[in-house]
Amino acid sequence: MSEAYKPLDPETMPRSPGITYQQLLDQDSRSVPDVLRLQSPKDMGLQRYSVKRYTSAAWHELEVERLWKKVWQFTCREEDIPEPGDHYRYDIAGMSFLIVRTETGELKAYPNACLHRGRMLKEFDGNAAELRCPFHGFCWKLDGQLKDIPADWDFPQINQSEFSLPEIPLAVWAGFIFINPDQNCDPFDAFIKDLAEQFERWNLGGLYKQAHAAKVMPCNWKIAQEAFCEAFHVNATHPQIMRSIGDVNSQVDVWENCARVITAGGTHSPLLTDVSNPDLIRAMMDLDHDAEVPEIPEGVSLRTFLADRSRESLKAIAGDRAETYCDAELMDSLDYTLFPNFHPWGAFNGIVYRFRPNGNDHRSSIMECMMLAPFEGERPPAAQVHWLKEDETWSSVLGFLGKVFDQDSFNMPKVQQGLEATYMDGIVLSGYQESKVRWLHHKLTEWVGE
Amino acid sequence: MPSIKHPFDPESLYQVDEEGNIRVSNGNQWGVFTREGRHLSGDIRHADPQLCVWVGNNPGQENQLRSTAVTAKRTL
Ligand code: FES
Ligand SMILES: [Fe+2]
Repeated sequence: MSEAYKPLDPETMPRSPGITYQQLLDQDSRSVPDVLRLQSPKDMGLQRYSVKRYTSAAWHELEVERLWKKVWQFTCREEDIPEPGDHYRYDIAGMSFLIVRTETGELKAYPNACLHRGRMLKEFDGNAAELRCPFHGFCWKLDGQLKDIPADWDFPQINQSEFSLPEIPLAVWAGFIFINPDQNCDPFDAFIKDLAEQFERWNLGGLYKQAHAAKVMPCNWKIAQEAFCEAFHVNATHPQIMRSIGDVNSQVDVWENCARVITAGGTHSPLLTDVSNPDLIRAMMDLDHDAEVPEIPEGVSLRTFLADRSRESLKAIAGDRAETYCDAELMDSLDYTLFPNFHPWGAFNGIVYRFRPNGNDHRSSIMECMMLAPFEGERPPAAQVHWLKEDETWSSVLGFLGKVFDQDSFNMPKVQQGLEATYMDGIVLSGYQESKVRWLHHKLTEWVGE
Repeated sequence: MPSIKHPFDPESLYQVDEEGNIRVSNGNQWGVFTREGRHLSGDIRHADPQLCVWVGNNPGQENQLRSTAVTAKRTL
């Protein structure tokens, strides 16, 4: 663990008034899994981080060289390429890779470039029996070995047995395919260890990709990403949900390569006093201010009541397994991040976010949301990515979740513009609530520099 | 029409009007705003832009990527 992270004592560290997340877990109607009992608050200092990280093309270039060309990164799900010959094009910061399912079912990754004069081999995701370049017809087998050079008498310099596509390190965790553009990279297992241990109970590999939406956002990728890394913004950005979530008493935990923010649902923000149960339920269910709401039976806590309803509806798709899920797993936001840009939610929400630069434009980014879901019997086909146009809202495809994204998105270009206009030289972050954002910047300092 | 009272200012009611703008009322006073919170008319001159964004965002069902998306109520 980096020396920059000093462990804090959860009992004595400064924190919000109101009930702690661990105290809420004490009231759960079921036994709470150990993973929710972990606490890993870290003191990472109070330093500022340069505005250049968001506004400078030169910083972006360093980020490409030192981060994107070197780090393990999520590309697609295994079920995106289930059959031999299926291939997926993954682009990152000016680079392009092909993730391919071979004849034997193995997964391989190659730079998406022909070894003749460099044309991109595949511009679309799809299926092919071989990888033949559309320019002059050089062709490789799915396993990367050279298959055919038209008029090979004219290329005496090529040793055909050695003219294979370069292999890019590839690894799979819970159905997510990761690659590392650096052929001499550190092993994946150590990189993913913290996250993998914590997700054992939630087995995201047993889910399938039910929905996938993407949009180009007019801001640096870190602005988009950091909008999803703390709950402090709820009071101003999502005031409508303050009545139903414990925003500023979220629990924030930081490990080496992963961090999480847990925000309780079915409890109100400590920034509000006197929230009635009906108002809390209306906020939670996005009902009008005077809508009828269900009665809560005597002696049942509101969280347990809401968790029971959620458990019942999950039973329809997850079967009896849903009975074993505790209230917290059904009610709370367990927002994990694996450095640098992969965000699977814990428990059974099935939400996964990813944020990355849009090519080499440091002022725009690609934001994606995937929804994983349980299934019975045969694995359903994975949803294709649905690209939203500039004027299309997230809510048009992702309902309530999308409405929340639309509020976050409303801020994003203004953060970019504000950072380009500001006289301050560094952004200010809180000590605890924004410590996941601070952790991301610590990691960026380690990888990219100041 | 969708409506919500502001958590920090519970007397202020935000509603979508017939034109799709946001009408904010508090007792006898009112103001009308765009769905991004820009003032259009009325004595109330300022509204919370994010609550205007929220109350004015009422997506149709036809392009939803999954039927449960509208009822998935937990996120930040
Ligand atoms: S209050 Fe956070 S950017 Fe202004
Ligand atoms: Fe948000």
